[in-house]
Amino acid sequence: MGGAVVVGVFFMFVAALGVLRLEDFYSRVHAPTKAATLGLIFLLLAVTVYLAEAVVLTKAILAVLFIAATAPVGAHILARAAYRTGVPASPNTRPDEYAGVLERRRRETGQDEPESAVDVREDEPGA
Amino acid sequence: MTILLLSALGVIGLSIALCLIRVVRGPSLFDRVMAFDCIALCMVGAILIMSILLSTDVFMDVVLVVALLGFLGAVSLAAYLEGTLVD
Repeated sequence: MGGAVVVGVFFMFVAALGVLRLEDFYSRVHAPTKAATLGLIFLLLAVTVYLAEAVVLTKAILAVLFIAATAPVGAHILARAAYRTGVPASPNTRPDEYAGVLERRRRETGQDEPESAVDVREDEPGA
Repeated sequence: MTILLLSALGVIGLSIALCLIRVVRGPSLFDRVMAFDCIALCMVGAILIMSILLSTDVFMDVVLVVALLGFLGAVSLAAYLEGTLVD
Protein backbone atom coordinates (compact mmCIF):
# COMPACT_ATOMS: atom_id res chain seq x y z
CA MET A 1 0.00 0.00 0.00
CA GLY A 2 2.82 2.38 0.80
CA GLY A 3 4.30 1.65 -2.61
CA ALA A 4 1.03 2.58 -4.32
CA VAL A 5 0.93 5.86 -2.37
CA VAL A 6 4.51 6.67 -3.39
CA VAL A 7 3.89 5.88 -7.07
CA GLY A 8 0.61 7.83 -7.11
CA VAL A 9 2.09 10.90 -5.46
CA PHE A 10 5.07 10.72 -7.85
CA PHE A 11 2.77 10.85 -10.87
CA MET A 12 0.73 13.71 -9.38
CA PHE A 13 3.97 15.64 -8.89
CA VAL A 14 5.05 14.89 -12.48
CA ALA A 15 1.70 16.25 -13.69
CA ALA A 16 2.15 19.50 -11.77
CA LEU A 17 5.73 19.77 -13.00
CA GLY A 18 4.53 19.35 -16.60
CA VAL A 19 1.87 22.03 -16.09
CA LEU A 20 4.57 24.41 -14.92
CA ARG A 21 7.48 23.55 -17.22
CA LEU A 22 6.24 22.53 -20.70
CA GLU A 23 6.61 25.17 -23.36
CA ASP A 24 3.20 25.90 -24.88
CA PHE A 25 -0.44 25.37 -23.97
CA TYR A 26 -0.99 22.44 -26.31
CA SER A 27 1.76 20.41 -24.66
CA ARG A 28 0.88 21.61 -21.16
CA VAL A 29 -2.69 20.36 -21.45
CA HIS A 30 -1.40 16.80 -21.82
CA ALA A 31 0.30 16.74 -18.42
CA PRO A 32 -2.69 16.72 -16.03
CA THR A 33 -4.79 14.43 -18.21
CA LYS A 34 -2.38 11.51 -18.41
CA ALA A 35 -0.06 11.74 -15.42
CA ALA A 36 -2.65 12.90 -12.88
CA THR A 37 -5.12 10.22 -14.00
CA LEU A 38 -2.47 7.53 -13.47
CA GLY A 39 -1.56 9.02 -10.08
CA LEU A 40 -5.19 9.04 -8.98
CA ILE A 41 -5.61 5.41 -10.06
CA PHE A 42 -2.68 4.41 -7.85
CA LEU A 43 -3.95 6.46 -4.89
CA LEU A 44 -7.43 4.93 -5.21
CA LEU A 45 -5.78 1.50 -5.29
CA ALA A 46 -3.94 2.34 -2.06
CA VAL A 47 -7.14 3.47 -0.32
CA THR A 48 -8.99 0.36 -1.48
CA VAL A 49 -6.24 -1.98 -0.27
CA TYR A 50 -5.95 -0.17 3.07
CA LEU A 51 -9.65 0.02 3.94
CA ALA A 52 -10.64 -3.30 2.23
CA GLU A 53 -14.39 -2.70 2.11
CA ALA A 54 -16.83 -3.43 -0.68
CA VAL A 55 -18.27 0.10 -0.60
CA VAL A 56 -14.84 1.67 -1.05
CA LEU A 57 -14.01 -0.72 -3.89
CA THR A 58 -17.24 0.15 -5.71
CA LYS A 59 -16.74 3.89 -5.35
CA ALA A 60 -13.08 3.60 -6.36
CA ILE A 61 -14.01 1.74 -9.56
CA LEU A 62 -16.68 4.37 -10.23
CA ALA A 63 -14.17 7.18 -9.68
CA VAL A 64 -11.56 5.54 -11.96
CA LEU A 65 -14.10 5.05 -14.74
CA PHE A 66 -15.36 8.61 -14.38
CA ILE A 67 -11.92 10.24 -14.33
CA ALA A 68 -10.61 8.06 -17.19
CA ALA A 69 -13.63 9.06 -19.28
CA THR A 70 -13.78 12.79 -18.50
CA ALA A 71 -10.12 13.86 -18.31
CA PRO A 72 -9.32 13.26 -22.02
CA VAL A 73 -12.65 14.78 -23.08
CA GLY A 74 -12.06 17.90 -21.00
CA ALA A 75 -8.51 18.27 -22.32
CA HIS A 76 -9.70 17.89 -25.91
CA ILE A 77 -12.45 20.50 -25.47
CA LEU A 78 -10.00 22.92 -23.83
CA ALA A 79 -7.38 22.47 -26.56
CA ARG A 80 -9.93 22.89 -29.35
CA ALA A 81 -11.36 26.04 -27.80
CA ALA A 82 -7.82 27.38 -27.34
CA TYR A 83 -6.94 26.68 -30.99
CA ARG A 84 -10.08 28.32 -32.31
CA THR A 85 -9.57 31.45 -30.25
CA GLY A 86 -5.97 31.75 -31.42
CA VAL A 87 -3.77 30.77 -28.49
CA PRO A 88 -0.29 30.67 -30.05
CA ALA A 89 1.45 27.30 -30.37
CA SER A 90 5.17 26.76 -29.97
CA PRO A 91 7.16 27.53 -33.15
CA ASN A 92 8.45 23.95 -32.99
CA THR A 93 4.95 22.63 -33.79
CA ARG A 94 5.66 21.35 -37.30
CA PRO A 95 2.59 19.69 -38.94
CA ASP A 96 -0.48 21.84 -38.22
CA GLU A 97 -3.22 19.76 -39.83
CA TYR A 98 -6.16 21.34 -38.04
CA ALA A 99 -5.40 24.69 -39.73
CA GLY A 100 -6.09 23.10 -43.13
CA VAL A 101 -9.31 21.53 -41.86
CA LEU A 102 -10.55 24.84 -40.48
CA GLU A 103 -9.61 26.65 -43.70
CA ARG A 104 -11.52 24.14 -45.83
CA ARG A 105 -14.55 24.32 -43.58
CA ARG A 106 -14.51 28.10 -43.71
CA ARG A 107 -14.42 28.04 -47.52
CA GLU A 108 -17.29 25.53 -47.70
CA THR A 109 -19.64 27.23 -45.29
CA GLY A 110 -18.46 30.76 -46.05
CA GLN A 111 -18.64 31.98 -42.48
CA ASP A 112 -16.07 32.94 -39.94
CA GLU A 113 -15.25 31.39 -36.61
CA PRO A 114 -17.58 32.23 -33.72
CA GLU A 115 -16.28 35.31 -32.01
CA SER A 116 -14.98 34.70 -28.49
CA ALA A 117 -16.85 36.34 -25.65
CA VAL A 118 -13.62 37.34 -23.91
CA ASP A 119 -10.25 38.36 -25.29
CA VAL A 120 -8.13 35.38 -24.23
CA ARG A 121 -4.86 36.50 -25.82
CA GLU A 122 -3.36 38.48 -22.99
CA ASP A 123 0.24 37.59 -23.64
CA GLU A 124 2.19 39.76 -21.27
CA PRO A 125 5.88 39.62 -22.26
CA GLY A 126 7.24 40.10 -18.75
CA ALA A 127 5.52 37.06 -17.27
CA MET B 1 3.70 4.74 7.70
CA THR B 2 2.34 8.00 9.14
CA ILE B 3 5.53 9.81 8.20
CA LEU B 4 5.28 8.47 4.64
CA LEU B 5 1.67 9.64 4.33
CA LEU B 6 2.44 13.06 5.80
CA SER B 7 5.35 13.57 3.40
CA ALA B 8 3.08 12.43 0.55
CA LEU B 9 0.64 15.16 1.61
CA GLY B 10 3.56 17.61 1.55
CA VAL B 11 4.50 16.60 -2.01
CA ILE B 12 0.87 17.04 -3.10
CA GLY B 13 0.89 20.50 -1.52
CA LEU B 14 4.05 21.28 -3.50
CA SER B 15 2.27 20.13 -6.69
CA ILE B 16 -0.64 22.47 -5.93
CA ALA B 17 1.87 25.29 -5.43
CA LEU B 18 3.44 24.56 -8.85
CA CYS B 19 -0.01 24.63 -10.47
CA LEU B 20 -0.74 27.92 -8.68
CA ILE B 21 2.41 29.41 -10.24
CA ARG B 22 0.98 28.47 -13.64
CA VAL B 23 -2.37 30.04 -12.69
CA VAL B 24 -0.62 33.31 -11.84
CA ARG B 25 1.65 33.29 -14.91
CA GLY B 26 -0.98 32.42 -17.51
CA PRO B 27 -0.24 33.58 -20.23
CA SER B 28 -3.63 32.69 -21.74
CA LEU B 29 -6.89 32.10 -19.89
CA PHE B 30 -6.91 28.47 -21.04
CA ASP B 31 -3.65 27.86 -19.16
CA ARG B 32 -5.35 29.08 -16.00
CA VAL B 33 -8.39 26.84 -16.55
CA MET B 34 -6.13 23.83 -17.19
CA ALA B 35 -4.02 24.55 -14.11
CA PHE B 36 -7.19 24.80 -12.03
CA ASP B 37 -8.22 21.39 -13.35
CA CYS B 38 -4.85 20.03 -12.24
CA ILE B 39 -5.34 21.62 -8.82
CA ALA B 40 -8.70 19.85 -8.51
CA LEU B 41 -7.06 16.50 -9.31
CA CYS B 42 -4.31 17.20 -6.74
CA MET B 43 -7.01 17.99 -4.17
CA VAL B 44 -8.61 14.63 -4.89
CA GLY B 45 -5.25 12.96 -4.27
CA ALA B 46 -4.85 14.85 -0.99
CA ILE B 47 -8.34 13.76 0.09
CA LEU B 48 -7.47 10.12 -0.66
CA ILE B 49 -4.28 10.30 1.42
CA MET B 50 -6.25 11.96 4.23
CA SER B 51 -8.76 9.12 4.19
CA ILE B 52 -5.87 6.64 4.66
CA LEU B 53 -4.47 8.78 7.49
CA LEU B 54 -7.81 8.96 9.29
CA SER B 55 -8.77 5.40 8.13
CA THR B 56 -12.29 6.40 7.20
CA ASP B 57 -14.32 5.81 4.05
CA VAL B 58 -16.59 8.86 4.22
CA PHE B 59 -14.36 10.85 1.85
CA MET B 60 -14.98 8.58 -1.15
CA ASP B 61 -18.09 10.58 -2.10
CA VAL B 62 -16.05 13.79 -1.92
CA VAL B 63 -13.66 12.29 -4.47
CA LEU B 64 -16.49 11.71 -6.94
CA VAL B 65 -18.02 15.15 -6.44
CA VAL B 66 -14.74 17.07 -6.73
CA ALA B 67 -13.77 15.18 -9.90
CA LEU B 68 -17.20 15.94 -11.39
CA LEU B 69 -16.97 19.63 -10.49
CA GLY B 70 -13.47 19.94 -11.97
CA PHE B 71 -14.61 18.45 -15.27
CA LEU B 72 -17.76 20.59 -15.42
CA GLY B 73 -15.80 23.75 -14.64
CA ALA B 74 -13.23 23.10 -17.36
CA VAL B 75 -15.84 22.25 -20.01
CA SER B 76 -18.16 25.17 -19.23
CA LEU B 77 -15.29 27.67 -19.16
CA ALA B 78 -13.97 26.31 -22.48
CA ALA B 79 -17.41 26.64 -24.08
CA TYR B 80 -17.77 30.17 -22.70
CA LEU B 81 -14.35 31.28 -23.93
CA GLU B 82 -14.86 29.69 -27.34
CA GLY B 83 -18.11 31.61 -27.74
CA THR B 84 -20.41 28.67 -28.42
CA LEU B 85 -22.21 28.89 -25.06
CA VAL B 86 -23.37 32.51 -25.24
CA ASP B 87 -24.31 34.44 -28.37
